[in-house]
Amino acid sequence: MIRKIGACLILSISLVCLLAPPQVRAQLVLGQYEEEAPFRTWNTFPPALASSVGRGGTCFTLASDNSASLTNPALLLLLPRWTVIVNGSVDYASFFKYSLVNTGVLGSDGNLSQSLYALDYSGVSLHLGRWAFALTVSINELYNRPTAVAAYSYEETVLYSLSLTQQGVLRNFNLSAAHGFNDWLSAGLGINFSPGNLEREMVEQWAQTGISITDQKTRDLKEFYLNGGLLINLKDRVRLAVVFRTPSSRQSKNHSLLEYAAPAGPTDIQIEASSEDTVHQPLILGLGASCKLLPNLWAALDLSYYNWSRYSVDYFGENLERDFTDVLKVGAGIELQSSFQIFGQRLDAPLRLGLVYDPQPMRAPRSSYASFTIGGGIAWRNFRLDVGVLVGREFGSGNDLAARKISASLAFQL
Amino acid sequence: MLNSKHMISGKKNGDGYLVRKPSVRPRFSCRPFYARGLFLLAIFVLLSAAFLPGPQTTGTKEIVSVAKTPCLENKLRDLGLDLVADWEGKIFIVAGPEDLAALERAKIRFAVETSKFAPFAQTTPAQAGGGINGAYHSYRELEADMLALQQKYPGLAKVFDLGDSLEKRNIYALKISANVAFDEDETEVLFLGCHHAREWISVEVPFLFGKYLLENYATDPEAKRLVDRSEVWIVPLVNPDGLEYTIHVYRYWRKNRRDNKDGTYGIDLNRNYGYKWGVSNNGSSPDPGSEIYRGPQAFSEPETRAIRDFFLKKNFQGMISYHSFAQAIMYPWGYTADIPDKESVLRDIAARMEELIREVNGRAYSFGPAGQTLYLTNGDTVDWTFGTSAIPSYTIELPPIDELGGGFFNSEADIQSIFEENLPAMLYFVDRFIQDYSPQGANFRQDFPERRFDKSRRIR
Repeated sequence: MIRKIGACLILSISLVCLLAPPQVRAQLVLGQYEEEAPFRTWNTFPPALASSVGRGGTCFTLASDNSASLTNPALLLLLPRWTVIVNGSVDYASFFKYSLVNTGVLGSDGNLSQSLYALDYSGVSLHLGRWAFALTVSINELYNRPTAVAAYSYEETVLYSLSLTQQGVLRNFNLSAAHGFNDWLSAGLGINFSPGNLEREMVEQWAQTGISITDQKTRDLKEFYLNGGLLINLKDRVRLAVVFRTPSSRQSKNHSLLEYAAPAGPTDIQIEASSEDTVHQPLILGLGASCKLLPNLWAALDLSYYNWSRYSVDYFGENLERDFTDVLKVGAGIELQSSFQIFGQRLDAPLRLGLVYDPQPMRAPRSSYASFTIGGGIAWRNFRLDVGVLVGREFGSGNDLAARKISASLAFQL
Repeated sequence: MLNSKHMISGKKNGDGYLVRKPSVRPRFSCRPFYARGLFLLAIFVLLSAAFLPGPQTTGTKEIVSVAKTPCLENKLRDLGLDLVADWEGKIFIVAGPEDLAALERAKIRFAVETSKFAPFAQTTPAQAGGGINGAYHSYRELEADMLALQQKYPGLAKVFDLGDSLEKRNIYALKISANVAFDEDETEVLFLGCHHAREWISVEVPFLFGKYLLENYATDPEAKRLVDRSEVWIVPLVNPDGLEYTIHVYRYWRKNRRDNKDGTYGIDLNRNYGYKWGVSNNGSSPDPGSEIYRGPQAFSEPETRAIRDFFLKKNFQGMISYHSFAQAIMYPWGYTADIPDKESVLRDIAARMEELIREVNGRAYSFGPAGQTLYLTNGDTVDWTFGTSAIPSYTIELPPIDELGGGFFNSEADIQSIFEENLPAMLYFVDRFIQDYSPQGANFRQDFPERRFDKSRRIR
């Protein structure tokens, strides 16, 4: 009974937190206009929870939790009967060029950096014989940027100020089912609905004249897509997987308000527009392989192909040029299962290491993240706590950008 | 909610723009919930205010100002005018059409200042789906509209690609003439717009002029005559990259999008032409961070080279480059306060254009040599076309007159009215060169030094 209450509590809290406004900020953008670029990396699939972060983001063939529903639902069949999990992440990224920062209006001599926190995943899964099901809520993408404020003062009086804020989130609701055809072949399919929003505001003020310019842009996003995968399990020593995420048309209701106010004029000019546009998200294909090298040691490799060359953005009726190319993201990692006794209790403690090569889709400048990951966990009775850390560096843009992520998850498994 | 905020410290340089400073420090702060509440409340109040009815207008009367001198003051009283205020060396008068006529008869110069006393301006938002910048053109919208004119009026309109901008956008010219496919021996007049990205109205006025000529060709004998007897060239968007930046990133961007490789961007295209380029640091700047940065050399930018090459292949008789804001008609020189030889011809044309503009709705434009009227500029379009080709060349600064009137903003509702008030002057400008044109180009050129270019280098 206590266990059921505990599971319900975790699920309820996590759902409430996920539906609340996200508590996060920041992202790298190498181009000038890509305000729709998601936080830290364009390649947000597969979403990485604590356990997979630690082993280089690999999650096509190894599953510690039900986040497999977002990538390869077939893995749900490897989980216990019930799994309830909540995951939180702290992200850090450095930026150089985004919006009007370092593109001609506001200048900084160094990178801007930002830390953020998000409760980014919660899910429940049920494994019944040859069938498994999962319902999850997650944050797929964030669009936040560091808030930039510039001011010109004279004798402690602010004569001019300019501020830029941008924030946004794309949540995801996933319902997945998996079926095992036999001991070595299983398949899974997930249905995804992703609502979200993006808000950007720029305010410029001249104190002496009272003139102000306000530029507000908002987007309401909505998207449906499918994900799925096949898992081949060879004598429980080698696993192979094929996964996909369908291309999708992300609907975007956009609104723009540009206002010039000069109260002494008096002048108040507003230019307002709205539109319904589409962002064509690319097909993503993945191949995964893992091998049990020792009875307690797994090694895994994930390859994710992003068809970014088909990415296209319509914005207020115009197609915005995005010179993107297809990329192949590589994740590799190992997981060592260990256990120990403390106060007479047996605790399992996996250790994980990994590497990630994450090329970004822009043709110019070519840019990639290379990251090292480490993680661990501890499992006691039905509870499980995992932590994963990613430390990355960007190459190609010349701006020496950094990316870090710390992710932690708490799961209840029955 | 944890909110990470970055402070970018900056100061204004001599040109009034932010300069870079290395101190960028993250600062963490909590955004209190009540701040959102206040923000929403402020929005509500603003929206409520916007829906309140404005004060009554003053009918057809205008508020005009006259420089205050004892002599003029007496003259005004003699005319029986309604003097309402005496402020900052000006006398303000509420004047009806008859009063304005009386002022003109008395040869008293005045400026229309009604906009400064206008009721709270309410503007109607653009229709949904009208593009991110409302009724103004984006690059793509302009391209589509120019090509649509060419398609609709195949015998009268033809679109030319003069070259690419830095970011590989086309710089388009619209040629309007009867038998447009042929290069006939007719007077050629050039209208340019949007050297400066934020001056959105300067795209609209020359474009609407072309549209007007085409749409009225079949029904308006005057429009037909002008199109039949001239070749009107319109380049409404010289700086497409800058325009797109103002739409998507920062509304007040002025220059093109050159990466100066020192952390600054942009070269002022209207300081990048080759006549007296960089002759002083007063009318342009060698500082890449300046808003009036002239570039590393004359014609360093593909946008100005496109205009130069196009201009040199043609035989233009007159040129107007549209800008905003100031309500001024300016002719050479910009690089010096000195006036050119034969200034009287330039002044006569400017005066007539000013008169025609004012007749539409009473809005006054000042006019005179650029270096005396606003400020010194070197490397600008008008000095180059006049200095190298000796053709009457004008910069017209469109409304409003000052920042309190909107600065580089014009409401969408004002686009048409600003065009309409400039239309008679544009028609006159074309007609003037039709009247003076002869195949040898003799008449008008007598007033100016010998030209350097001939028709053999025309583009087709």
